[in-house]
Formats: sequence, structure tokens, C-alpha cells
Amino acid sequence: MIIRTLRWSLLLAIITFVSGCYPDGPEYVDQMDLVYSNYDPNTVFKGNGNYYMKDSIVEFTGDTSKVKYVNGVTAKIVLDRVKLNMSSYGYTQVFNEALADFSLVLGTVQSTYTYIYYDYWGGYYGWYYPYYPTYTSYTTGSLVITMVNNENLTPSGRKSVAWTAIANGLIEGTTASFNSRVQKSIDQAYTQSSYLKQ
Amino acid sequence: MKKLSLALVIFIVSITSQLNAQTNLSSLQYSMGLATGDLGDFISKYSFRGATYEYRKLKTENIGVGFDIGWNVFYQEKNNETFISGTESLNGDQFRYSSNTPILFAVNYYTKPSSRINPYFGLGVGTEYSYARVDFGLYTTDVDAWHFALKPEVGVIMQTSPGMGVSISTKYYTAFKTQDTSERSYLAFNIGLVWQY
Repeated sequence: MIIRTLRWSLLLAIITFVSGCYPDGPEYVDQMDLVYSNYDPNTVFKGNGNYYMKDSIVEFTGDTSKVKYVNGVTAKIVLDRVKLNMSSYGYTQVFNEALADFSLVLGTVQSTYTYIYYDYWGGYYGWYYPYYPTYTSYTTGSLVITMVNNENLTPSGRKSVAWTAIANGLIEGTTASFNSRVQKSIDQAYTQSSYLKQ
Repeated sequence: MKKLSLALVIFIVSITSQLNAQTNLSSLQYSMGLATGDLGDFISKYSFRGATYEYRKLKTENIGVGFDIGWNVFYQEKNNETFISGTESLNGDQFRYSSNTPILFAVNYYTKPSSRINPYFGLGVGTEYSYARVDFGLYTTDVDAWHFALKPEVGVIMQTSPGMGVSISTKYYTAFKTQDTSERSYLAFNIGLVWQY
């Protein structure tokens, strides 16, 4: 009898211990940030160090009838960080696009996801009213930086894309922490794209 | 491989059917794991999450036949890693999981059954359910599969009192690759209690 009790106690202890130790995954918002980049291998970056960039960021809303822009304060934070990274890689900003080797175009996309799930009332309303709906939602955002090659035209006469970077993550937290994450993601986009260096 | 597995099953079943039952032996073990091969490339971090239950019917003093059910979870965070494929690069924190549940017919050979220290070796054959998941940014990919599995094992049982003991063992689980998943193999280091009844 003692052995049987001990055996089942040990089994319960092991199950409890192992279940309690089950890995949880990401705990902080910034652990879900991703930075993607890609480039055209035919583009020659070295020796083409002039770039042009508009002082606004387009917000893609799906409505093509009117152009919407990211608010000025946020846009400045993003654009300043891009300029800083371009400068550190040896690029010079020019204000006449005709003189630029590359043009930088920035845009953002937002999506909101809402989930409904059902939870138990815990007997409060009795067995006949067991579940209540709970709503949760989160908003994700992406910053898209596109570097267009002003010299290299495609066969159809359009400018080709030399480099693209996308920073993706949850739009959560304080303004300060969000701005910090965006700046960190921009830095990372350049860090993983060292081929851009002059 | 199919011939080998068939031979192992026939061997175990034949022992089960030919020998008379004498004693039962159960063991509950805490299991730690170290992934090897493809699984080791996926998760190299040592795992302290696992448990195993073993049952053996002692057909003779030396031979125990029964089954194993185990569970080993591997987990590793890859922080600020950049993954490169051709001209594309992707950076972020990856969270990698692998849960492995072997269910095996098993036979052990006990070398010194009447001694207080009883070394043994064994072999298991059966199936293993594996589940692997990667959380990367806001995205998750996962895959699960049932594998054909083998498990050689060496260990020792130290008798602490009549009918009770402590076991220490090392097992090597190999879950062969399937159409959808690669091979899952890992070393498991187990320590637990043994009851003979």
C-alpha cells in the first residue's frame, strides 16, 4: 500500500514538475520583431553613393484614391534614423532626384487581428450558462524601405529595386519604446545588409 | 530497416509468449536529454524536461519484457539570429520546441539479478510521436509525425530495500525520418525509482 501510494505520488510529482517547466516562448513585444532584407545581385552599390529621399512616409491603407502619410513626428524619427545609417555607410543625401544614384521610398502597413474565444464562468451562473465570449486583438505593423536604382532601368523602362528592407512587429507599448524598437529595427536592416557599404 | 524491425518485434513477442511470468518491475524516472543529429542541429541546448515510465514482466531472473512510455521536451531560444538564404536575410528571435513521446515494446537483460547492484542493457522498438514548432516573430510553423523508433539502453539498478531500488540509465532514442520530418534522435539520461512486485 505504501509503495503504491509512493509510486503514484512520484508520478504526480514528475507530471507536475515537467508541466510546470514547459517552455513559454516570447515574453516581450520586441522578441516578436522581425527584419527582412533582400537585394538585387546585379546592382553595383560601391561608387554610387548619392541618394534621394522624400521627407514623408506613405501609409498604405488599401485605398488608392488618396494618399495618406504617417504623422510628422513619427516620420521624422524614422527618416532621421535611415539618414544616419545611410551616412554611416558612406552615402550622401542629395535633394535633386535627377542627381541621385538611388532613391529611397518608405511606407508602412498596419493590420489588426481580432480573436473571439470562449471561457468558462466557473459555475457562477450555474451549469446551464457555461461559457462567455472574450475578445482580444492586436495590431501589427510593417515599415517598408525600398531603394530604387535610378540608373538601371528594367526592359519595360521602369526603375528597378536595388534593395528592400521590411521591419515587422507588434504595435504595442509606449511611444518611447515603440520608437526605440523601430530605430533598432532600422539599424538591424543595415547591419544585415553590409553589401550596401560604399 | 523493415526486416530489422520485423525481426525485433518477432524476438520480443516470442519471448513474451514462451516464458512464464514471475515478477513485475515498474520504474518512474526523471529524464534529461541531449539532442543529436538533425534534432541536435535544430536544438543544441541540454534539456531538463522529461519523464519516463517503464514496466517489465520478469520472464526469468535475467530477462524483463514490457513497455516504455517517455516524454522529452527540447527548447531553445535563438536571440537576434540572422538567417541568410541567397540574397535574402531574416533577423529576429526564434523560439524552437521539440516534444518527443516514445512508446516502445522493450526487453531488458539483467546481468546480476540477485545482486544489490544489477547492471542491465536493453532494447526497445516501437513508435515515437514528435511535435516540433518554431515561433519566429509573429509567425509559427509546426510539424508533427509518428515515427518508427528504436532505443538501445544501458543502466544499473541499485537495490535500496527489498522490492525497491534506484535506477540510473542512458538511452539513445532514434526516431527515423518520415515523409514530412527528419530523423529525431537524442540521448536520454534517466534517474528514477524501481519497484519489484
